[in-house]
Amino acid sequence: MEENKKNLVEVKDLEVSFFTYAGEVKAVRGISYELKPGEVMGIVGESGSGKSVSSYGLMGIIPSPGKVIGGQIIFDGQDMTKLPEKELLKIRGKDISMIFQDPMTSLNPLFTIGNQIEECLKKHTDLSKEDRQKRMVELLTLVGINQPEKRLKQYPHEFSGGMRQRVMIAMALSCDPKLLIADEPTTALDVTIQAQILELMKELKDKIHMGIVFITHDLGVVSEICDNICVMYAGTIVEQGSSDQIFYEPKHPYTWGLLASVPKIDSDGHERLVPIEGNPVDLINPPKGCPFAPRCRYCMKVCIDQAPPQCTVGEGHTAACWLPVKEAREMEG
Amino acid sequence: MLKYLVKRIGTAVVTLFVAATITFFVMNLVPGGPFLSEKAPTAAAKAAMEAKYGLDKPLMVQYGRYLSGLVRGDFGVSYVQAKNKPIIDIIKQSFPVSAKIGSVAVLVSVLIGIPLGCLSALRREKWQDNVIRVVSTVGIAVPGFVVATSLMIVFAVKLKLLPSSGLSTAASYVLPVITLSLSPCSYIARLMRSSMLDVIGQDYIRTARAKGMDEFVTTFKHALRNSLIPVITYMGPMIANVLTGGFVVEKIFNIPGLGRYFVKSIESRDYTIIMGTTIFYAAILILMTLICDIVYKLVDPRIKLDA
Repeated sequence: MEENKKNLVEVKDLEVSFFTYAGEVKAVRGISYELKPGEVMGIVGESGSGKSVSSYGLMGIIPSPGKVIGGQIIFDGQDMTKLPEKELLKIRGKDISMIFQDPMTSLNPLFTIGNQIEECLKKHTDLSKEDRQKRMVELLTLVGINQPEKRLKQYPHEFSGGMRQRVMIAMALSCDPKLLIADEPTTALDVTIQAQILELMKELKDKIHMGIVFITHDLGVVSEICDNICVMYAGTIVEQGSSDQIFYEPKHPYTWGLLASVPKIDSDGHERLVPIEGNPVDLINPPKGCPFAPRCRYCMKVCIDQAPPQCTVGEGHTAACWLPVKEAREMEG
Repeated sequence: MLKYLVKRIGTAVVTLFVAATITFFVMNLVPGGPFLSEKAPTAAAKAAMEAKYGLDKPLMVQYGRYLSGLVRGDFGVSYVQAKNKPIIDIIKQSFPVSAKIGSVAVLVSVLIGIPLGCLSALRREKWQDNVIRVVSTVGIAVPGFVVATSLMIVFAVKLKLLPSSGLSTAASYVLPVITLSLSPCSYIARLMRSSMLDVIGQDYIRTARAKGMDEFVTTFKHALRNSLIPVITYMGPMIANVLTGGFVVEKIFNIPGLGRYFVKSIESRDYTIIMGTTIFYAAILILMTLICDIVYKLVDPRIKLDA
C-alpha cells in the first residue's frame, strides 16, 4: 500500500548557484530526495548549508542573484524549474505554501491580518466574501487564536511572536496546500512558544493530510515531527534516512557530530557538549573531495581527493561517505 | 486625537514666538535700515519717518510693540515697498499666486517623482535605472536660477514657444512649474528608489510572493505603501517651501508672489514684510509637518499620535 503511493515531491540532482560579484556561490550542489503525501521530511544542517535555498527552489522564489542551474523539482507530476512564472503563481500559496523563520517581519505591518489572509483566498479560490470570512475564522480557530473575528481586524504589531507564527500558519493552510514548507518556523521563538508551535504543527499534520518539508538546524525539533531526515552539509545531502535511522544508527561523521553537539536532558551532568571543530567550506571553490573532510576526525586520504559515493547503509538509508566502503578503509590500512 | 491636536497647536505657538523673536533681533543686527537708499533722504526726513513707524524707540520697546500687535493679528504696515499697505493684505494678495504655481509644482513632483523612483528600483542596475539616477542627480545639483534662465532662453527666447514672464495664460505656468518642481521631483525619485529597494528586501515581500501574489500586487500593494514613509517625511517641508514661492523662480519669471516680496524686503530692509513673511512661512511649515504626521498615522497603523 505504502509502496503504491505516488511521490508528491521528487527533487533530482538540484543545483542552485548565486552569481555574486565575488563569484559563483554553489549553494546547493546536486541534492535529491523524495516526499510522499502526508509525510514529513526534515532537512537539517547548519547555517549556509543550503537547506533554505533548496526549499525556495521548490516554490520558484529563489532570491536574486540566485538561480537553479541544474536538476529537476517534480511536484505533483510537473517540473517546477521549467514552469513559466504564470503557472507558478497559481501553485504558490495554493498547492505549496510556506511559513518562515521570523514571524516578526514576515507579515506586512501596514495591513490587517484579515486582509493578508484574505488576499490568498481571493487569489486561489472562488469563495464569496462571506465564505472567505467564514473560512478565515475557521482557520484562526484551527491554529488556536481566540476571538478570531476581532483578531482578523488587527494589525501584526498587535500580535506576539508566537501568535504571528500562528497567523502565518493559518495563512499557509488557507487554500489546503498539498505541501507545506516550514523554514525554521520555531527558530525565532522562545522555547515555550516553540513547543506550542511544534505541538500545533503535529496536530495539523494529522488533521490535514499534507506533505511537510521541515527545515531546521535543531535536531530536537526534527525528532519530534519528522518521518524522514536529510542531513545537509555544504550544499549536499550527506546522510538521508528515516528519523530512527538518523538518530539511532547514524553513519556519517557529520551526523555523529551534530548528535554529539545536542544537549541531552538525561545526561548525568558531567557530559560536555562536543562542538564540531572547524568552519564550513568555501562554496565559491568547493573542494573536489568530501566537503566535510577538513573537519572530519575519521578523514582518510581518499576523502580529500575524491567525492564520496552515496552508500546504501540500510533500508532507505544512505550516507555520502567513504567510511562504509570496505576498499577505502583497506587502502588506508 | 483632539488632545493631540491641542498639544501640537500649543507647541506651534511657542515655535512661532521663538521664530519671531530670533528673526526680529537678527534682522535688526544687520546694518542699514528701511530709509537708506541711494537717494539718501535728509536727516530730518529720515528722523520723521522713523518716528512715524516707531523705529526711533529702543529695540526692546519696538519688540514689545510688534509682539502685542502680532497677538491682535496685526502684522504692521510696509515701510518701503508698498507704502503703508498692511502686511496682511500683501500676504492675502501674493500668497494665492505663489500657492497656485506651488501646488501645481508639488503635484507634478509627486506624480512624476514617485513612479520614476519605483521604476528605478524595480529595474535596478538596468538602463532605466541608470538614466533616472543620472537625470535626478543633475536635477538636484543644478541650481534653480540656472534651470530658470536656461529654460527661458530655449523656450521663450529662441523657440518662442512659451511666455517668459507673468501668469496671464496657462502656458505661462509651464516654465515656472518645471523650474520649481525639478529639484523636489528628482529628490523624491531618489528617495523612493532607495526606500523601495529597502522594502523589496523585507521578509513580508517574500511572504507575499510565496502566497502567489504577482509582481503587480507585490509591488503596488505590499511594497509601495511601506516605501512611501520616507517620502512623506520629505514632503512636509518641501510643500511648505514650494507653496510659499520659490524666491528665485518668482523673481526671474516676474511672478507677483510671496517669494518675490520676501527677497525684495530683505534688500530694502522692509522690516515688517520680513517679519510677516517669515512668520507666515514658519506657520505653513508647522502646519505641513502636522499634516505629515497625521498622514503617517493613516499610512502606518503602528504609529500612535496621542503621545
